[in-house]
Amino acid sequence: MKILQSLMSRYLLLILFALALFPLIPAVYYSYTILFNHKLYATQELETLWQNTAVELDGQGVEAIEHRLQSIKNNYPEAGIFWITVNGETRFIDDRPENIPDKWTFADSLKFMEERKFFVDTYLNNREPQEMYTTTALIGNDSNQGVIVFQLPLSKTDIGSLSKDYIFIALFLCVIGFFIVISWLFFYKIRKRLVQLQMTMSVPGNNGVPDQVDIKRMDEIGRLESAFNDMVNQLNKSRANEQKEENMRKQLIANISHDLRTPLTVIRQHVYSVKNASDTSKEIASLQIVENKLEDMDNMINNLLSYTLLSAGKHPMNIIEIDILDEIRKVIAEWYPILEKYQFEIAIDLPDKSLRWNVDPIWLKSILDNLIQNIVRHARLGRYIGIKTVERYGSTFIVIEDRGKGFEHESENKGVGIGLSIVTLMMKEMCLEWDISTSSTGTCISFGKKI
Amino acid sequence: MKTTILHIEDDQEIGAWVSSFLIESGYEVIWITSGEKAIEYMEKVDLVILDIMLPGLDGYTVGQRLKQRYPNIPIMMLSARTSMEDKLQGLSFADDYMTKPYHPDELIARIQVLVRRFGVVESAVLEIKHLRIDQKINRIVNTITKEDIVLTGKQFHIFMYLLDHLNQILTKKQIYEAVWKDAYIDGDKTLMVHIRHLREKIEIDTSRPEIIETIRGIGYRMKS
Repeated sequence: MKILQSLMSRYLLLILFALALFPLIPAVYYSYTILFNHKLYATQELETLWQNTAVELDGQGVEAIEHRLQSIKNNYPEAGIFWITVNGETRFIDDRPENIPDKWTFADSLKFMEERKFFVDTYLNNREPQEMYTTTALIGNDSNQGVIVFQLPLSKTDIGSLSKDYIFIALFLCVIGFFIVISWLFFYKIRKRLVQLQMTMSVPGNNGVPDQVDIKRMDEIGRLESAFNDMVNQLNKSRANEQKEENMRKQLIANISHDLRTPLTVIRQHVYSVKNASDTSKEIASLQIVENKLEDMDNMINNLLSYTLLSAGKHPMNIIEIDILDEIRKVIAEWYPILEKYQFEIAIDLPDKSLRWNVDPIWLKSILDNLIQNIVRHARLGRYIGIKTVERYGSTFIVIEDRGKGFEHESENKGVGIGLSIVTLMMKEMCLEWDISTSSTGTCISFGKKI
Repeated sequence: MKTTILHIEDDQEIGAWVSSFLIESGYEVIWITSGEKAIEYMEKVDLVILDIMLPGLDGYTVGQRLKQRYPNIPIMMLSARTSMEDKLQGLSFADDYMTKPYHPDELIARIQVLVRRFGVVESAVLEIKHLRIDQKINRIVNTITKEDIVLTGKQFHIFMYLLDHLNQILTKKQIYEAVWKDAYIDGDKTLMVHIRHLREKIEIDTSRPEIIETIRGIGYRMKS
């Protein structure tokens, strides 16, 4: 990553820029005054100059005084210079400043002194300062020789520059505001990108893995996005591998099932042939047992493979809303000929309305097939199957009953109960509640949707 | 004329036995062990029995191709693949799916259902109890009175639908949706009324129907 692409470097640059800007503001602001405009006169120097001049002019005549003052005026063209003679007459050098009387009375002097008084607390109390800087001196420190007066606009002096500078403050505030906006934009952009990343991370795509993020900039967040994209890639890859393994496993199980069934088919075909050609009832009875056992084995292979897939969580489940009573009717319709063959009394008492559940229809069919098959195999002697609905805990439950000898009885066809294990797993996965009550007079299985 | 069946099965033991069994049961059989050349025989056969695990092209591909070219020839899958996915895939084009090991009698029964459904037999005359039904000309005759039975449109549809699924139990919903081509509304008595009128025309004793049997709580069945 280039150093300039780093967020940290960019933020440091921003700070440095701000730090550099603060001293630069006054520099830029005053550069015009400093470079092109007038210099500011130090009041301290003017004071000294004026005092010294007063001393120099001690005992000098009018012409000498005015000559000296004229030479000072030449050095300070913005200044207003005049002097007051002992008689109170004002003598101006070049221009005549405003509000200066030609002849001074005592009251004029007092007024002038009051107006030109410099308040120390001017700035402290935020008072309006005088516009003019004024200094006076007695010629030769003697009140009988006259007074020389030097006036200069306050803005031309160093104390005048301390007056209120609204533009400067406004400029300063603008720069601070600008810096705040830039900082805010900087962090806002970072925040926006982080929020966007968080959103992408938390929304799963089609295959359950979030989609990749577009990387716009290779900074710290860009690198985080890139790492996230790598992770998504890996997840997709492992998901694809998992899918592949799942398919291979399914394929393997399907192939095993197929290979086991093929010899069973051949055996069954030949049993059929031999049975049809048999004369004695004993032979036919034996072959019937072989046929029954072949059927059992077929069911067992089915169950074993279903159970293997189910317990590994590899049996696909597709939950949809269906009319459960309609499904039950269809399953019973398929089993009807077999139940009739074993002379079962079939008591179906299902309401003529729909009962909608969210289940996987294929799984539901497997459950019903298993339960009915159990009745056919183990409760055949009861010759009864009843299917009805009951209201329980505010919900409709399906009840399947038989009049067999119950689970405790050792049936001729009793297996390891893998069929019921499949039923248990499937019911659990589809959030169905079920229970079995069994006794020597029959078994009753009920199942329903949990509320 | 005998019904000709194209039997595609690679397993020698199963193929040989099924072929001879079908011939014994009165069918003509062409048995081939792979599906590649199946299309060549399609002009002369009335029904196809197809295995899935075949060398070369698998049964699904062969079946789909055959169905595409010959949609009116019924295909029955006969396979040791029993998973629901396999069945669903098979039934997406095939007309029936039977798993191995199968009961030979059931195989014959299912072949008969398919043959009837697709009307592939020349002599389509069928006898059910006292009725003689000529499917070619849609004629139903009461053999006792020797009179033709005239049915209304809906009655005829119901009758034919039950006949196509002879010995099969059909739910009210299945019959209603097949005949009326509309969604069944729970508790709707329309079908019941039509069945009652149909029975009045075809049954000898409507209080003890012999042809259209009511399966309580499920639906109806036409028994041969």
